[in-house]
Amino acid sequence: MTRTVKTFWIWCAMFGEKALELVRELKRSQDGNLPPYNDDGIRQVVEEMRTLFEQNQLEVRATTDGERGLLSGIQLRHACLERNQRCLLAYVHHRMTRIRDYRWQTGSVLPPSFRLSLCEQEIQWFTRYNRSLATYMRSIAPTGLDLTQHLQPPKSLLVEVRCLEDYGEFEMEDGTVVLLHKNTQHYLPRSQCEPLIRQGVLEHIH
Amino acid sequence: MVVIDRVKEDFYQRISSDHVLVLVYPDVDSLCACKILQTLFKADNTQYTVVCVSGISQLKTAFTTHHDKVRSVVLINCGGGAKLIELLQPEEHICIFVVDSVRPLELDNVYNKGQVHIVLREGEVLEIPDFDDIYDSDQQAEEDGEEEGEEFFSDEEVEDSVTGGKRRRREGEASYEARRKRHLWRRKREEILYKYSEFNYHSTAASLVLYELAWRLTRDNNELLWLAITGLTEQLLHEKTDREMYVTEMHRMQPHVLRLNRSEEETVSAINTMKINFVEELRLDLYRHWTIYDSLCNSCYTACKFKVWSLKGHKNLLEFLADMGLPLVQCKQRFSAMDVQFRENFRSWIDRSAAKFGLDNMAYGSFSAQIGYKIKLSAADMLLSTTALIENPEKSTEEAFLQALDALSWSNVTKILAGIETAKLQQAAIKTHVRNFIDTHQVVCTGPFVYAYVEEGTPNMKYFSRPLTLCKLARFLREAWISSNKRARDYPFILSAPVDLEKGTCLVAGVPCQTEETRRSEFRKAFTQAADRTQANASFDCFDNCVFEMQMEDRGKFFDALTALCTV
Repeated sequence: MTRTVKTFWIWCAMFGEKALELVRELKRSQDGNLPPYNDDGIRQVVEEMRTLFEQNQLEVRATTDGERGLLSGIQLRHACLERNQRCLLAYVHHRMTRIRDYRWQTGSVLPPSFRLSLCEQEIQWFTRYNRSLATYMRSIAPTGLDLTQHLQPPKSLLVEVRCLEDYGEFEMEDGTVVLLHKNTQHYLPRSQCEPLIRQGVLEHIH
Repeated sequence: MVVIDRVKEDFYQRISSDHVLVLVYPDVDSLCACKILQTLFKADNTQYTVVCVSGISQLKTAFTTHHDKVRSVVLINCGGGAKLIELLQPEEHICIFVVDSVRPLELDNVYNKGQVHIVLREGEVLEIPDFDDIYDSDQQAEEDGEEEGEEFFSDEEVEDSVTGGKRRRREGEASYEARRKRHLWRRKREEILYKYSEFNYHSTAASLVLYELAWRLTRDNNELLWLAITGLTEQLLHEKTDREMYVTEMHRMQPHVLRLNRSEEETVSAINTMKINFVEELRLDLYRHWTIYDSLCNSCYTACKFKVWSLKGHKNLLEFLADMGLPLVQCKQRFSAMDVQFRENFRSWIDRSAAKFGLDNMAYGSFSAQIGYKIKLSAADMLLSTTALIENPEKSTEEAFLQALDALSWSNVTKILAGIETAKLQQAAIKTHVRNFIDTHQVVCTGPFVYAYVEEGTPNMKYFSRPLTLCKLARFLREAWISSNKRARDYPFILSAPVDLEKGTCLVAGVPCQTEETRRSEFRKAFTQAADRTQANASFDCFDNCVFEMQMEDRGKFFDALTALCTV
């Protein structure tokens, strides 16, 4: 009995590893870029799940035929199946969240570098998400409101910004041109400064 | 054109609809004025750009790079004494507004019609010569007449007809009379101009002018009032104006303080709001943020009265502390960590003992501000901290300027506290230097003035390569020198320090003599004349009239020429 239990435990140590590896990969890359869609890893996990499932099927049939002592094995494999499912869903869901955040942070155009990390279905999902976001934004106000411009509600029309590097001339919507020289301070319309603030040329002063 | 009465309409409303360029000199008064103006602009959603300019060349560069993008330019404490139209050559549609405390103002700026406007406080009277004494509108016509007359002379010289001769004589007399009159007028004009620009002095602080503007727009509040008070304190402590003028201004500020800080018994205002009140401030720098012992040793007034660099003086200081009843251990602890009884009675004890030890002018009227229970700053503390931030040796002038500008808003009060720490280091460095100077007898008294050099390679030299700190060192040194040599009291003091070792330039600063009541100095004129005589490579770029830069090798010649000039 002890030997069978031990074999089981060693066996189980091999299950769920690959799924965990997928999740770990995503966690490691949280600060950096999205890693490419791990097709291989997913396929292996699905293989593993299929093996487990088939074995479980066999043993369930055997148990209904009257064999005993297989219940713990079935339960174990079922737990492993559920674990793998959870890991896979977490993987896919996390990637989806990252892609959605990308849309809000950067924009609706996918640069090639980002496109490479996505699989076909993810790209399709992105396009559909874009479309529904655009429909929603158009429906809020008669002229459409770009919600992705301000991630936090703006408190004032103009913001005080400090120039961190020599940018040169910056033309604003109403035609006035401002010279962004290093170490000068300006008070400019928020909407036009936001992209420069994100780029790091200007610094918002509170 | 001079803008006095209608500051609101003629100045503020004209600029608040455009994008404004604000050019600011890096000293405390200008910073405070800039902050007040920024607050007003923010309330009106006026776009602006702030650029720091420390000299005439920088002013020109900043203007030329920005001028085609703006229609209004405001100059704070810079450019009042320079010929703006000539220097900047602004286009027709550009309006330049100057808020400058330096006097005398350049006459071209004052009499300019349309492009340059001087913003003054209401009720201020500019002592300027009449327009007709300086600018002669008939001059052009007369010059033409003279030329014609001369031509006539040369043409007719050969002919010798009688009628020609008579006409010649009449025209000759008339033109001779005209030329004589013009010559006299020119002589008078030169005299007037010489007398006008002889002395440099300071008038109302820029921050006070702009605070009054804020008041007229009913946008004043305690924060702006505090900035105005800081600007005013700078005028006293950096010796830009004399005591009397300071007291007058302070009385003008009192009603504002009372109005904005009305304390009624029934209503308790929120603890986190700023409250300003009037205090009798001691001439002990930063004593609330330092130890009493350090503050006594490093403040200009007490250090020089006690002569703490000498053994006897040090003993005197300890005697003073004993007389007050403060144990030395307590004095060497931070003020906020002293025992309560010592802290509370400190003021009364020091007032009592001060007279005994010859510290007569220990106290002066000033203001202090408080937010919450923790932060209490006096105007002098604020001033020292801001000066230390502006002249931070580790940063470039522009970066330090922007940091100091940040620190002026009360939401960034930690920066002011950090500035106080830097100010302490600066004070200690200044005092060490002064002690070195006195011990090594490096101060030279040559007849008309007293001067000293800061040698290259002295420790903490980086502090003294900026004008404000150099002037502070000069004042401290002057006081210290006078305390041992009473006769030097009537002489101005000139100090020189290296500023750029690669280029070999040094900064020269002059402080007027102590007995000078009205704080008028003739340094700019004297310096320019001496530099011209010796053909020294000097640049009078800086807007501060008492400071200029020159090559180190020309220093010796320069001082010789200056001595010769002053003894004449």
